[in-house]
Amino acid sequence: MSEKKLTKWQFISIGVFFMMGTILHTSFVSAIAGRDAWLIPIMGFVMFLPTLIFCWRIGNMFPNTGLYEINELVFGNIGGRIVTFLYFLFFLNVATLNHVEMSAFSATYLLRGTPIVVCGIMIVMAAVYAIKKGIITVGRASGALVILMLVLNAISFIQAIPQMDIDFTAPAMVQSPGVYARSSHISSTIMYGEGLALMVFAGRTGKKVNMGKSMLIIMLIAMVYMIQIHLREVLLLGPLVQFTRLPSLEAARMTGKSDTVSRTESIYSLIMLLCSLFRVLISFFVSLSALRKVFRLKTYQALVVPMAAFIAAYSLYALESPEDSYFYAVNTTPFIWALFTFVLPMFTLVIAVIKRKAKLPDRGGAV
Amino acid sequence: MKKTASILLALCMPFLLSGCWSSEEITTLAIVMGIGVDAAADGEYEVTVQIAQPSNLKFMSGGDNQDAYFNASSTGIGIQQQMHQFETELSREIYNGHMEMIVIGKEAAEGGLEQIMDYFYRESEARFNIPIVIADGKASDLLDVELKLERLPVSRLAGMLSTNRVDMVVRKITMDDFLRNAVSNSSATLPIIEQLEEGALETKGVAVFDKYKMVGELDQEQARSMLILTNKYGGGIATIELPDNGVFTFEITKSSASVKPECENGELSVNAEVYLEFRVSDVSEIGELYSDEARHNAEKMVNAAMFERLADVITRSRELNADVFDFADIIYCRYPRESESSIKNWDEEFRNLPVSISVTSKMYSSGAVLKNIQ
Repeated sequence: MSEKKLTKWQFISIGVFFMMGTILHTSFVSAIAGRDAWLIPIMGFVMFLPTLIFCWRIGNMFPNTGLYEINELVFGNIGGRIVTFLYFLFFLNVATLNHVEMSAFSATYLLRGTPIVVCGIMIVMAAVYAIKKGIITVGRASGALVILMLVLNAISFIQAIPQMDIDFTAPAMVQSPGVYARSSHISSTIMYGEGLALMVFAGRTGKKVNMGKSMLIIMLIAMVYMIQIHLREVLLLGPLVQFTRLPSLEAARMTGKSDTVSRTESIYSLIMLLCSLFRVLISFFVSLSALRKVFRLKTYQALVVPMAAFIAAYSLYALESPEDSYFYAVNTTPFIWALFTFVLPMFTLVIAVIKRKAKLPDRGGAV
Repeated sequence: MKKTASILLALCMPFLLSGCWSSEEITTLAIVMGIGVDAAADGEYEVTVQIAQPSNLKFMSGGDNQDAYFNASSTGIGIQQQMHQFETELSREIYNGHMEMIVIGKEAAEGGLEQIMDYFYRESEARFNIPIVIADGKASDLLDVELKLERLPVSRLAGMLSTNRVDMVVRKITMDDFLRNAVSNSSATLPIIEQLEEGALETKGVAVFDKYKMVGELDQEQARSMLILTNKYGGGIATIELPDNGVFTFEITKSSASVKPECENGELSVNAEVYLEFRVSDVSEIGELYSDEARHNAEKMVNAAMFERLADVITRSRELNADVFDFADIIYCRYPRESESSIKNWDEEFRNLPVSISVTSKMYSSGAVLKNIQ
C-alpha cells in the first residue's frame, strides 16, 4: 500500500464518490416521501449536522488521526478497542447491506439469469482484489470517477428535461410530519451516516487536511447530488416514484427522445454499479481496519479473504433475500445505526472534552 | 510459484472472458415486439405475442412482409404463465426489452387491467414508456393487421399514434401515464383503435378507466375536447355543421387551457379558460371572411361550438364518474388542506363539482386566398 498521504482533494473525492453510492438506495426515501423525496436530502443534512459538528470538533482536537486511533486516545486501550469493535459491527453491516443491494441490482437488471450468489461472490472478489492492491490507490482514482459521474449525471439530467413534469412536485410539504421525520432520519443515518467511514481515513491524510471542513464539503456535494437524483426521479416518474424499486434506473430508462439515446441506460447501470462497488469497498476496508486495530495486527491482509467470505455468506444467507434486506434497511437500520452515527460520536466528543479539561490545570500551571 | 500462477491465470482468461454467466445469443431469444391480451373464459387471458424474425427485418423493397414476424397465442391464468408456455413452445427465451406496444382487448379492459399492468410493472425488462392501446374487438386481430409500409403490425400501430398529431384526436398513452392516473384520483384513458373491414385502422376515441377498469368511452370529439381541456392537444381539424347541411372546417393550430381551481368557504370549483387559434380550411357556404365583422362572427361561431363540445365532454365524464381532466390533482395541488376531505370522496365530489368554461378563439388565417371564390 502506498504510504503517501492523501491530499485534501483526494480525500474529498473519495468521500464524494463514496456518497454517490447511495444511488441504489434512493427508494428508501422516495417510497416514503414520494413527490417530496427531493427535499429529504436537505432535511437529512440538517438532521446529520450535529454529527458533523461532533466530527469537526473531534477532528480539530485530534488532527490527522484516524477514527480508531482517536477511540484509543479518548477511551484508553481497552475502552478504545471496545468502541472500535462497535464501529466494526456497524461498518460490517454497512458493507453487508450495500453488498446485498448491489448483488440484487446486478442479478435483476444487469446479469439476468445469473444467480444472485454468483453476483455476490463476484462483487466480493472485486472488493478483495481492490483492497489487496491498496485501497488508497483505488481511492486516488476516485477523483477522475467523480468527474465522470458528475458529467454523466448532468448529461442524463439534461436528456430527461423534455419528459419532466414540474407539476409532479406539487403540492410540496403537505404530508404528515411523520413522513418527513422518518424519511429524513433514513437519509441522515443511511445516506449521510455511513459517511462516518471517512473518519477512518483521517490518519492517512496530509497535515493540511481539516477533517471537519472536508467532511462538510463532502456532505454538501453529496446533498446537491442526492437532490438532483431524487428530483430527476420525481419529475420523470411522478407518483410512481413511491412504487418503484429502483427509481433512478427506471427514470434513466425513460429519458431520451430517440431510441439510440435512450439506450444509454446501460452506461447508467454501470455507473450505478461502480458507485455501489466503491461504497462496498470502503465499508469493507474500514471494517477490516477496525478488526486489525482490535486485535493489534500489523496488517489486515490475512483477514481480507476470510472477511470477504463472511460478508458474502452473511449478506446472501443471513438476510435471505433482497426483500428482507430492503425492509431491514428501511425499518430497523435507521434506529440501530443512530447509535453509531449520533450517539458514539457525541459520546467520544464529550469524553474527549472532559479528559482535555481535566488536564487543563496542569497545562495552566506550566504556563 | 507466482509466475506459474500468473501463467495459469492468463491461460484461464480466454475461457472466462468468452461471455458472462447469463449470456444469451440473439439466436436463442424470441424478441417480443408487441403483446396483446384478450379476455378468455373463466377469468383466463389469451395472450398473443408478436415475435420479430430479425433476419427478415432488413430493409428491402417488396418481399413477403409476413416473414418479418409471427404471432403466437396461448390461453391461461395470468401473463407470466403464458410467457413460460411460449418459451417452451418456441424453445427460446422470451425477451421483452424491445417491446413497442401493448394491445389490450376491449373485453379484457372492461374486466380490469390490474393483473395485466402488474405483470408489466414488475417485469424489469419491459420499459415504463411502452404505449398501450385498446383494441375495439380482439387484441390478437389488431396484432395481425394488414401491413402497408411497415414491416411489423406493432410498428404500424405505433406509427399511427405518432402521426396522429397531424390531426390529434387521441394521444399516445404509455404505461407510466396510465399507472400514474391509476394510482391517483384522476381517471386514466387509453386510445381505442378499430380495424375496419378493408384493413384500414382508425382511432375511435378513448377508453375511460375507473382505476384499472374500463367504464366507458369518449367519442372522437369528446376525446379531442378532453385533450384541449387537459392542455395536451397538439392541433387538428374540426368541423362545425352550418344550417342547410353546410360545413365550416377549420384547423386548430394552437390550443391552450388554463384550469384554475377555486375554493370559497370550503366550496371547490374549477374555472377553465380555453384559447384557440385556427385557420379556415374550407367552408361550404362561401361567405365573406375578410371584414372584421365577418372574422368576429367566425370566431364567435367557433367559440360557441367549442364551448358546447367542452361542456359535452364534462357531462359525459360525470356520467362515467371519471375525472379524466385531472381536476382532483389540480385542486389538491392548489388547495391541499382544504380539499383533503373532498379528495377522499372524489367520486361523489366530481359529479357535483361546478366547472365554468370560457372559450376565446382567434382566426389566425383564412388560408392562401385573398378573396372568396365567387
